Order: sequence, then structure tokens, then C-alpha cells
Amino acid sequence: MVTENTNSGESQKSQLVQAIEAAQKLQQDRITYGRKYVYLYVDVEGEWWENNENYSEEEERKEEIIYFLESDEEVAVRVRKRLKAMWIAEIAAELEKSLRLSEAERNYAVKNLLAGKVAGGENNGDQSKTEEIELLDLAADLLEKLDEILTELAPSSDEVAKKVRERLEQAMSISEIAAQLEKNLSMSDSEERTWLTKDLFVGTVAGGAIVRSERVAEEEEIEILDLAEDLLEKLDEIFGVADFGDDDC
Amino acid sequence: MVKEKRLSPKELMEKLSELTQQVSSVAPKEGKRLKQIERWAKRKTQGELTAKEDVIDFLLQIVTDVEVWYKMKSTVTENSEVTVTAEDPEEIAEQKLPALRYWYSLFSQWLVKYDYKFAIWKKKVLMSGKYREEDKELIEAIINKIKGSEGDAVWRFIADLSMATDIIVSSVEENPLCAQLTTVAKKYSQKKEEKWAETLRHWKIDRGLFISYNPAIADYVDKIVEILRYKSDNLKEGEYRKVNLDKNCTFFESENQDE
Repeated sequence: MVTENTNSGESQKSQLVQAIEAAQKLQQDRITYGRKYVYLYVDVEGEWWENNENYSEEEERKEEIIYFLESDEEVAVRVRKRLKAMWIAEIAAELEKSLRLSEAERNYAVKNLLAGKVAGGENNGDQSKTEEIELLDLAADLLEKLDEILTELAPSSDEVAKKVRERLEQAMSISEIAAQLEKNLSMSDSEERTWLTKDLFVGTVAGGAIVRSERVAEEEEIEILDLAEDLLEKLDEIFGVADFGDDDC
Repeated sequence: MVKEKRLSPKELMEKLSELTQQVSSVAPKEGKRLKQIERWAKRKTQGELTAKEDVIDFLLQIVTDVEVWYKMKSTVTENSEVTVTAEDPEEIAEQKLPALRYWYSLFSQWLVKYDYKFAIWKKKVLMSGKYREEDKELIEAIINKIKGSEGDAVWRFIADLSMATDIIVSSVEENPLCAQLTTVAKKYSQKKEEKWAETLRHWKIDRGLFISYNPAIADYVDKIVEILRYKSDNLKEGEYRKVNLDKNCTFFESENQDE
């Protein structure tokens, strides 16, 4: 590990040699023992560090966007130059929001953001043609980069997923939704699964923080039931829900 | 990392924090990257055992490599007042470890440069225990063979996940080469090859080789080793090449025709 500074160049050299030898040994142990080599160095089942607060997926994405915007990557530099007046965290928050929009809306929102108009603001058409092209260009480049960085972190653009988020995002985090769905999927009876999933949307989750609204209109009830069925169908595609609860044979 | 006794995960994290502080005071940009790692690792530690092992594996590699990098930096700075040039510490040169020396030049870049793959692999690969070194046995065999014949080889998480490099090798000419290995059975697309080259360019990797191999052919490990050694000695500067090692290995014949 890092040792105290010494004045002697010689001793520093030998420290470097030691560090190199340690790195070589680590690689060799990794080769010899496979993933389990870690137990030679660390008691994995011993005391772990304390977890920080749980971050929401949104915050995590925002943080990744901040890392990018702060970098020396050409697109990041162009964005910073354009939006000098905004804090990077502000820009990141707007970009993160835009990820939840449809593709067309997203392009529009990002272009507006780069034009110095925050989402919701009117485009007053005061840009010149060249500036407009420049803006569109930068918006496209930026979205391409964000797509590359966040491909698997971005919210799914699937229609059903979007509807689920719209209904529940105010009340629960994505991971809470997932946990609840996971529970529902473990029910072996398919009707029960649908019913529980529907209840999740209405807000009658057992012990959940959501308060059921006075009375759910019948129309909405049908809409919700539809959504629950669509969602379960999607999950079935992903996991083969039909097999849940059965033995692994 | 000098091993005295087994550390607890918490102690390992403390080592990382200590290093991060030390690095931050002399190299703020690099310190920032280390802080990102700390923040990420401290965020979630629950999960399956395999995921935990992967995180520990990653942190062990980071701590060990940062220690080498840090000592290289301080050695160079104190002796000649030159700022970080991880490429040239005599110790590594003396020990004839060209691949390792090259790795540290890449690593020092990684500490400051934006990594497009970092967000994804932090989340998907490490934290869910989905990181499987499928080619592990192959890589193990390759490293042993190359090291046993005047060569050097380096195998790292970050090279693999961020730099599309399964292994860095060098042979008689002591010229490091970044190689990616994949089986022919895996769908190979033009796009994937372009992505690979793009990643190598991002990290300014001098020479790259993409080998797709068929594990059904006889002595494929030896053949891969032969290709790696040959290419590491002969590939031109700035050249990225793809080699297909399938039935009736024609690699060497076609090479000869070229020349």
C-alpha cells in the first residue's frame, strides 16, 4: 500500500519495483485460481463498507451525464461553450428529463435546451439559418453520445414501459415497481397475477405508500386492466412467466 | 499490493480512499476518476456473492495499478521534474515487461480520459455479477505460453471492458499489441468490428488485432499464440487487423502471399 514519502530516490525505486511485483503477482493469482483468487487477498464475507443512500435510477443517469459534460470530449466542450450560463448539473437534469420523451419530442427538447430555452419554453424563432443548423447538428451529436453512454441505462422506449412509468413514477421508484412486479410474478395463478398487477396501478399495494383515489372510474378501470395485461404479456416474453412457480424441469 | 493479511472489504475500500486522497493532492484529474469509482462502489454492495467477488476483483486491480502508477509518477517527478510519463520508468524497462509498460501508459490515459463504456459496465456487468470471463481458460493458457517464451502479457478488467482488449501481448521484438478474442460462433458483424476499431482509436492504441477463432480446430490455443507473437512482432504502427482462425487455418499462407 502507499507508504510514507522518503527522500531517498533509491528507496523510491525499490518501492516501485515492489509495487510492480505485486501487480504481477495479482495477475498470476487471478490466472491460477480464477475468480476465487480474491479470497487470498480479501475476506469477501467479512465486514463491508457502509452503503451510501440508495440513488434513484434517474439520479444515477444524471450523474453519468454530468461526468460526460465535464469531460474533454469534443461534443461536451461544444455543449459547455454554448450553455455557459447554466450549471452543468442543470444541463444534465434537463437532458435526463428529455430521455423520457419520445424520440421526436426529445430532439426538439434538446435543441431548445441548446438554444438556451429550457423545456416548455417557446421557440421564438430568432435564430439565423446557420445557427439553426449548428444547433440541430450539436443536438444530434449530443443525443448520439448520450445514447452510446446510456444505452442500457436509459429508460426503455417501449410503449408499455412508458405507460407503466407514467402511471407509477410519481408514487414509486423504478426499483420499487420492479420489486412489486417480481412478487406478483411469483404467483402461480395467472388471474391472480393480473389482478395484483392491476391493483399496483390503482394504488392498493399492500402496505404501499400510495393512497387509493376516492373511486376509480370504470373507464379507467378498464384501461388499467388492459395495461396490466399488456405488461404481463411483455414480462412473459422476457421471462416466460408461464414457468414461474413451477419446478425447473 | 503487498499482502500481509487478508483484508475485509471495508479495509480494502479504506485503502482506496487513502490512495484517492493522496492522488488527488498531486493529480486532481486522476483523483476525480478515483472518486467516481469510490462513489460507485459505495453505492450498492448488496447482491449475489459472484457480484461481490467481481467488485472486489475490480477494486484489487484498481488499487494495485494505482499504486504502481502513483509510484511511477512520483519517481519521475522527483528525479527529473518531468511530469507524468508512465511510459519510461527504468524499472519496468529493465525487467523487460513491454506489455506491462504499455498497459500503464493506457491506464494513465484511462484515469483522465472520458470512458464511454464505464457507465454501462459499472452498472450492468459488475454489480449484477454478470461479468463472466468466458475466454478465461484460453487467456490463462495464452499468458502462460507467451510468458514462457520471451514474451509479456497483461490481462485487466479495464482493458477488457473499456478498451476492447482482452489481452496485451509482446514478443521477441518487445512491441506491445492489443488483442481481442472471440469465437467464430458468435455473430460477427461489420458494425462490431467498426466499434472495436473506434474504441481502440479513442484510447489511441497503436496496434490492434481482432482474432475470431474456432475452438473445434486442433491446437487452436497454440495457433492463437503463434498469431499473437507473429503479429506483435510484425504489425505496422497504427494498424488494426482482423484474423479469422477457422478450419484449414490459412492465416500464415495468406500472410506469406502478402509479402
